[in-house]
Parts: sequence; structure tokens; C-alpha cells
Amino acid sequence: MRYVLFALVLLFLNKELFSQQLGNISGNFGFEGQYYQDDEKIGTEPFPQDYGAQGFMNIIYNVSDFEIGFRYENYSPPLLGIDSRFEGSGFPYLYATYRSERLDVTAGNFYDQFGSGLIFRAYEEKALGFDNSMNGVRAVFRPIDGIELRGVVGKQREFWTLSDGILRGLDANIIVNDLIPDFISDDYTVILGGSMMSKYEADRQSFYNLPENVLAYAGRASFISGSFSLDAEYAFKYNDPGATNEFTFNNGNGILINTSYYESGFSATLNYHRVDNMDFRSERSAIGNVLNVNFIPPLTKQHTYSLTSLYPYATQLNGESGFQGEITYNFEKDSFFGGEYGTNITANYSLVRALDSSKINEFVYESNFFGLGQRTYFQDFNFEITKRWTDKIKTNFTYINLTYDKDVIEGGGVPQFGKVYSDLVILDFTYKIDDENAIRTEIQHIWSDQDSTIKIRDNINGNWGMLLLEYTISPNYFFTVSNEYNYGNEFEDARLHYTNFSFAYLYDATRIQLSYGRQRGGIVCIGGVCRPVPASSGMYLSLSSTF
Amino acid sequence: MRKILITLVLFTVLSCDIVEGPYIKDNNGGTDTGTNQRVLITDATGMYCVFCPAATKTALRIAETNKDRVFMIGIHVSSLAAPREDDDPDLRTEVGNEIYKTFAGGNAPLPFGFVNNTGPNINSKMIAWAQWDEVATELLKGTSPLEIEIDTDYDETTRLLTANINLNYILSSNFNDHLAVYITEDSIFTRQKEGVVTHESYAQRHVLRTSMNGAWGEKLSDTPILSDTKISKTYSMTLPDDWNEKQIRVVAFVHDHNESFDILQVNAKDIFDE
Repeated sequence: MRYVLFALVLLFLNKELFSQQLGNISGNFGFEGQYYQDDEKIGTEPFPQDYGAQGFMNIIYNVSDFEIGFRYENYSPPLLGIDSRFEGSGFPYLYATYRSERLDVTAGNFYDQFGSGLIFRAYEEKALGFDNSMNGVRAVFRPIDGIELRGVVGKQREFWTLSDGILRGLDANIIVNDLIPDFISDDYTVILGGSMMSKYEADRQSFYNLPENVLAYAGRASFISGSFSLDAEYAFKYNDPGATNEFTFNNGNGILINTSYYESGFSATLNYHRVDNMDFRSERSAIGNVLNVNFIPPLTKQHTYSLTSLYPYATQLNGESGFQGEITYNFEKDSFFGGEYGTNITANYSLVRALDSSKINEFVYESNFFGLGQRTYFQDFNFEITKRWTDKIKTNFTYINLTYDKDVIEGGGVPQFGKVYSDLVILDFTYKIDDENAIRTEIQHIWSDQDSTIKIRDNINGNWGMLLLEYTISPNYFFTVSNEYNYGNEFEDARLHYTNFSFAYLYDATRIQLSYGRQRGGIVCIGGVCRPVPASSGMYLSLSSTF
Repeated sequence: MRKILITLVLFTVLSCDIVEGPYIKDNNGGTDTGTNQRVLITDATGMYCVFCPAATKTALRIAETNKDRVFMIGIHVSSLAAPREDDDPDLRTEVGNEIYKTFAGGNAPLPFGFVNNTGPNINSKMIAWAQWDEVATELLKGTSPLEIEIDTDYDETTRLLTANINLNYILSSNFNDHLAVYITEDSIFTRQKEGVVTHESYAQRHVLRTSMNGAWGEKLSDTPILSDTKISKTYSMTLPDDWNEKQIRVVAFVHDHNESFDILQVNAKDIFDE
């Protein structure tokens, strides 16, 4: 055994030799740690261990047509906001894959999705503390050019164990141009697809007459013609009563339509979706971001500036309908609006409303497929102007107008907060001192009104101002100081500053960040999937590397 | 290959159960296995928790379906149970807070519950309400090492309540067994959020008021308890004037206090259930 280890160490040391002789090893590593200080003013939660620490490492080994990989994870304990059931360590992700021209097979853990994910998407998002990887087998078969068949069977990860429910799924993807080359002109691309996913979970309870097997299916089509594209997908799910839909026996359905048009200097997109009772889980009792089988692509713009995270939109899987449109125009250099370096303008609008539905009895409701409910969940109008003024100065100006139904998005519908109406302005200004040194500032401000009397103190409501200064020594060093000030909070004692200092070091594919200060509570959303982030104060360290 | 594909498609397509009604099982009285295990569902709830009424209804339904074998208590915990209006009562108790802190870290979002306090370890006792039925149904198939009988005596003039708890160990048990005796009051009417609705007069069910012998009760023995052992305990308290004596229930349970905290047996008696 010692000799084997010695040989492996030697091979690792000589990566080139290893790669040529015995394949290739790659992977990545990540660590986050935080020391928590009590800070009553911002409402920190008690953290008895004082320190939270979580890390992982992925190792992937490729040789010829084979790939094996694993991931080790450690949560000792997880950071605040990450589900405490992750506490522990182990190897939750192990797999082996064989790939050939016609057939790929995987045994162990895998991530995958059918179409846009309406009935199946297994993925990981560390920032959300989300991982619904499959543990089972997957086969991808390409019998002829243009057809790809995919089959999966397995159980989903549930922290350090597996779900009770078993998933069985099939997907077919047909590239019509490849399958029948003479049928369609080369100017067009047509892709068709269909998928099915069935879940089995035993009915061990005594009250409801529950379906043990739940089937969902979907069909999709894509049409691409030069600068124009159209994607559409429809999904249907049979009765699937569970905790998240309060044991309704309704069937579910969802439809997505995305169109886009591009030409030089101009692009436009229009998206529509409607989902009704499409929260699909591999266990009926699962709530929160746990054991989701499917994924509904978000319909609203995913803003990135910090104050925009006060009111992000979370997709309402039980039912919503809406649309989004976006236009981008690039004013050319040396034009009136373009100036010497050109100007880019993006305007975006999205509207999400409730479904038009009414309850028939305790178990079922009716929903008008073509109707739109009266209640507005979320509305966002925003535009962004990006302009380089000189070789040294670049600015990005953003305006956002939001309507945010806090009761629905955060409170499950209870009339407690009302709607929040807000306007944000953001100026992002970069001054390049020389080839190595640059200063960037962000000035952000939000005016925010809530249409209800705020009775309970919170550290979110009201107006905020924010200033960030970042000094960069390219390509390695980043020094940042930021301050968010909730000066318009209804409660005087909640008008607090959230100051944070941060240093980051970048070298090749390695990034180290150290920061100290206050972090306000809020919500983090990625792709319309959200989790609350409790307020915290203290020292934060992160390290990530890819190799 | 075609046959394999057709088989796979059929396998997936056929894996679907369509329930067109009835949506409720014809199952009166629950699973009768002839065993004596009973179950306590602890419903962690709050007036301003919008999903809690659904959870409470589930607990009540399980108790109704398994009459005299499943009991529920409601512990009002977290900021969602804190009074927000002048006329909101504060139904939180020291005992409830202690349970919440011990089994749920004191900050877990409602609703959730404990079913005979089962769970892998003391920090992981929370069970999602949609799972209570399944866990309770499974537990009811089990056996308990002991029986609990409750006799109560209540003086309406002095409002003095005396509870005699008689334990009969059919099987041996260990020396960590603790007996806890809780007092609950049923149907306290308060404001309650439920989804988009605010109920101005909602019956809070089987609200935990206090314990007659501390949050975790009293240790029964310093040595392992042998089979055929009988233990009797008596506790008394005077009911506060603002408690509705007609709705008072004594809930007694024995749990393994050292490691698992699992409830070994439970019983309950309404003091006006003569």
C-alpha cells in the first residue's frame, strides 16, 4: 500500500507525466469561515460555537473514456443561514462515468436536467445551501445523429442521507436538422424534446388517500432563425398533494415561452411563463429549499448590486403568471449618444401576478388557464446606461422601480407587511489610474415605502444609502470598504450603519478574501430560488481554488 | 433496442396514481395492533404563523383518528407567538421555550413539531407537520415498557388540582426515565393568522400552560427499573383564575432523559372528564 501511495505522490508531482500516462486530474476547493460576534442592535442570532466553517473539495479523474470523481464536504458547523442539517462531514458525491460516441453511462451521483428544468433539474448552489443531486444511474444514448435519449433513476440527496422518494425519468432530445438534413434549410434550426419524470413515495400515513406514484411530463420546441429564436415548453404534473401545496389534489401545469431577437447593436427578449401547482418534491413533507425535483426559471431580472437584494423576487411555485421584456441598444462610437467610446442602454420590465383561481373544496381548486389574477406579486421597471467617457473613466448608471408584495414573497400571503414600493438609483464609477491601479465606487440609494403600518421592528424597511470604495492593484489585490445606512427606518434605534472592510487576493485560479464588519439580514436569491440570510457581525474568510 | 425503449417508456408512464376521490381514507380508529404504545404530538405554533393552523389541524385529525392513543399539545414559541396587539395574550411559557430551545435551537421557523420526541439526536427532533401522521402511524405499531394511569381530583372552590400518576412497568427500563406532568388548556380564543386571512377569534387547541414538575419532569429511579414495578406520584397546583377549568387537561409522559429524550409512554386526562 505504501508503494502505491508513493507512486501516486510521484505522479501528482509530475502532472504532465501523469496526464500523458495515466489520465488527468482536476478539481476545485472552497472554504468559508466566519467568526460571529454578538451585535444586538442588528439582531444577530446566537451562535454558540462562535465560529462557522464549511468547505469542500471536488476531485475529478479522467482517463480515456472514463471519468471518476468525488466531493468531500465539511460543515463544522454550517454558516448562519445555511440549513443546520448539513452539519457533519463526508463524501456526499461519488460517481463513475463512461463516455463513448453513442453511449454515456454514470453510476453514483450526478446532476442533470430535462429541458429547462420544469419537471427535473438536479443541481447544486452552494450560496443557497442547496444540493439535490441524484444518487443512482444515468444513461445517455445517441442511436443516430440528431437523437439523444436520456434515462435517470435514483434518489435525491437530503443533507447526509437520501430522500424516501424514488425518481425515474426519461428525456428525448431531437435536433431535426441533424435527423433529417434535407427537411429544413440550413438557415433554420429546429429542436424538439419531450420528457417524463415519475416519483414513487410510499403512503404511510392514515388520513389522506395519497398517490404513491406521481407522474410529470413535458414537451418542448426550439426554433432558431439567424437572429431570431423561440423556445417553448409545456409541463403537466398529476395530483401531487404535499406540505407545500397544503395537500391539494389538483394537477399542476406550467408553460414557458421565450423569444429573442439580436442584430448588430440591438437585442430584444420577451418571456412569458405561467406555473400552477408545480412545486414538485421527492418527499411530500419537504418544505424550504429541500428535495426539489424541478426548477422554474425566473421571470424577473436578477439584479446584482447590494441594495437590490433588499427586495428580490422568489418564484412562487404554487402559482404565478407573468412576463418580462428587455431591450438593449448600443449607440455606436462617434454618434451623438455614443460619444467617443459608445454607449450601451438596457431597459427591462417584468410583471408577475397571481393566478386567477378559486377553491372548490378543501382538496381541489379551479384555475383559469388563460386568466390573470388581480394581485400583483412583483413589478420591476429598470434601465441601465453603461458608458466609457475616457480611457480612464467608465460609469454605469442604473435606475430601478419596484413593486414588491412582501406579504406573498416573504410572509406566505398573510396581510402583515403590505406592498413595498421602491425606487433605486445606482452609480458605479471606475477610474483607472494606470495600467495596474484603479478605483471603483458605488453610490446606491433606495427610497422605499410600505403600504401598511409597520408595527414590528425590522432592520430592512425605509430608505437606505450605500457607498462603496474599491481600490484594485491588478491583477492581484482588491481593497474594499462599504457602508450601508438604513437612515429611513421607521424605528429610530434601527437606523444603523452596516460597515464592512474587505481584502481579496487573486492569484491564477485562487482567490482569498478576508472581511470584517456587519452584514445586514436579508434574502439571497439565485435563479428565483431564495433563502433568508440572518444579520451577522464579525470576521469572514473565504478561499477558493481551481486546479 | 426498440423493445427496451418501449418498456422504459411504459415503465415511466404507468408509474402514476390518479386519485379522483375520495381523498380521505376510510380509516376510523386508526391502526389497531393491540399494543399499548401511545403518542404525543407537540405542535410548535404561534398566533402570527400563517401555516400553523394547517399543522394544528393535522395534529387534531391524527388525534381524532386515533382517539385515546394520540394526544397533542400546542407550545406557543418564537416571535410568531409574541403579542403584537394590545389584546393579544402571551401564550408562551418557560416550559415551551425550554423545549423549543432544546429540540429546535430556539430559532427554527414554524410550524414544526415533535412526535414522541423521536429523532436521531437531541438537536434533531423537529418533524415537518406533513410527516406527523406517518411517524405517528409507525409509532403506534410499537410497544411501550409501561402503562400510565392518571387520576385527578379538582376542588372547584379552591381551584386546587391534584393529579395522581400511576406507572406500571410491564417491562424493565433504565434509570434515566423521567416523568413529566403538563397542564394544557383547550380552546383559548385569540387572533390567528392563516394564509391571507386573519381570524379574530380562533381556538388555540390544547395550549401548554405549565408543568407540575418542571420542563423535563422528575427522575423516577436511580437504579434500572425492573419489570412489574409500580410507581405512583402525586402533584398538586392551584389553577390561576384566568384559566378555564373546564378545558384543563393533565398530560403525563415518561421519557428517557439521558440520551434520546424519546417518549416511552404518554397518557392524558381532562379534569372534567368524569
